[in-house]
Amino acid sequence: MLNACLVAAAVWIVYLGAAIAVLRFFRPIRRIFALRAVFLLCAPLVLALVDPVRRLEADALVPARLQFALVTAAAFGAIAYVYLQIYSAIDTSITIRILVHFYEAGSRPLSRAEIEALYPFDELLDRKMDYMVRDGLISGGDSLELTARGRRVGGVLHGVKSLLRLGDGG
Amino acid sequence: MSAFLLSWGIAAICLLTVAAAQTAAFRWFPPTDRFRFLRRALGSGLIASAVIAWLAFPSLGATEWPREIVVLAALVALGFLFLLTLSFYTAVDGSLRTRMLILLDRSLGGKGTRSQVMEAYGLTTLAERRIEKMRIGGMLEPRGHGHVLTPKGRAMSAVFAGVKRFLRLGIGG
Repeated sequence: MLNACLVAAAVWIVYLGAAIAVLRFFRPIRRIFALRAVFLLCAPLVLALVDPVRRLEADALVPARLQFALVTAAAFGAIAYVYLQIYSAIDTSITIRILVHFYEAGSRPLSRAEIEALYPFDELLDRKMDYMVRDGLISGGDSLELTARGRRVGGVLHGVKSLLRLGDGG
Repeated sequence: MSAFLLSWGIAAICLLTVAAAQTAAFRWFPPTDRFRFLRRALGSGLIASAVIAWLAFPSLGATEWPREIVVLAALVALGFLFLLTLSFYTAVDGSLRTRMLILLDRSLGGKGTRSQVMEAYGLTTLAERRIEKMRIGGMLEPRGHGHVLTPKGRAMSAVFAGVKRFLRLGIGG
C-alpha cells in the first residue's frame, strides 16, 4: 500500500516537473506536442517500475496485468488531462486575458471600449479561421467554404448547443 | 462476480450521473444560477460517492487497501469526472471556432468571406459577453463608465498573471 502511494506521488512529481520544464522552455507552438510526448514516455516508465501482478488480487474475469494497465492508463490520463486543461485555459482563455488587463489597470475602471482597444478581436478571429483551414474544417483563403468534415462537426456542436440551450456562445 | 468490473461499473454510473447533473444545469438553469447549482451538485456528489464507497467497500474485495483510502480515491475520481465533463460543456459554450462553424453552416449557407463571418459574429459581443460572465461570477463590479476587479477577482487574476509570468506564456488569449 505504502509503495503504491510512493509510486503515485513520484509519478505526480516527475510529471509536474517535466510539464513545467516543457511550458517554460519550449516555444508555444511545440508545447502541446511536448506535453503529449512527456505523457507517452512516462506511462511505460510507470509500467516498468511497478510489478503489478504481485500487488493485485486474482480476479476470475479480468487478469491482473490488464487490471493494472487499465487503472494506470486511467490515472495517468487523468493527470495529463488536468495539466493540459489548466495550461490551455491559462494560455488561451480570452476571459483570463481580459481579467489580467483589469488586474494591470489596478483601481482604474476599464470600459468595454478600452478592453477592445487592448485586445484586437478581429485579429483573433482571423487567426482562428486560419486554424480551422489548417484543421480541414473549412477551405479557401479569403472566401471560405465549409468542408464535409466541418459540416459534420458543426452539426454535432449545433445539436449539443441546442440540447443545452447555450444560445450563440463563443 | 468480478470486483474489478464492479468498481468500474460504479465509476461508469458516477460518470453518467455527473454528466446528467451538468446537462440539467446548462439546460434548465439561467446563467446566473448555473454555477451555484453546479457547486451544490458537486458537493452532493462528493458526499454521495463517499457514502457509496464506504458502504460498497466489503463487496470490492480490496482487502489490501484501508477503507479510508478507498473513500479518498472515490472522492478524487468524482472530482476528476466533474472536471472532465464540465470542461466539455464550457468548451462548447465558449469556443469561438464552434460559433464560427455554426455561423458558416446556419447563417451563411456554408460559404462566406472572412469579413462576412466577422460581421455575422458581432465582434462587440466578444468582450461584452465575457465581462457579463465575470460580473455574474463576482469577479468584476461596475464603477463609473466601466468595471473594476472585486477582491475575489483581484486574487484570481493575481494567480493567473503569476502563472503566465512563471510559464512565460506572454499575454495569451
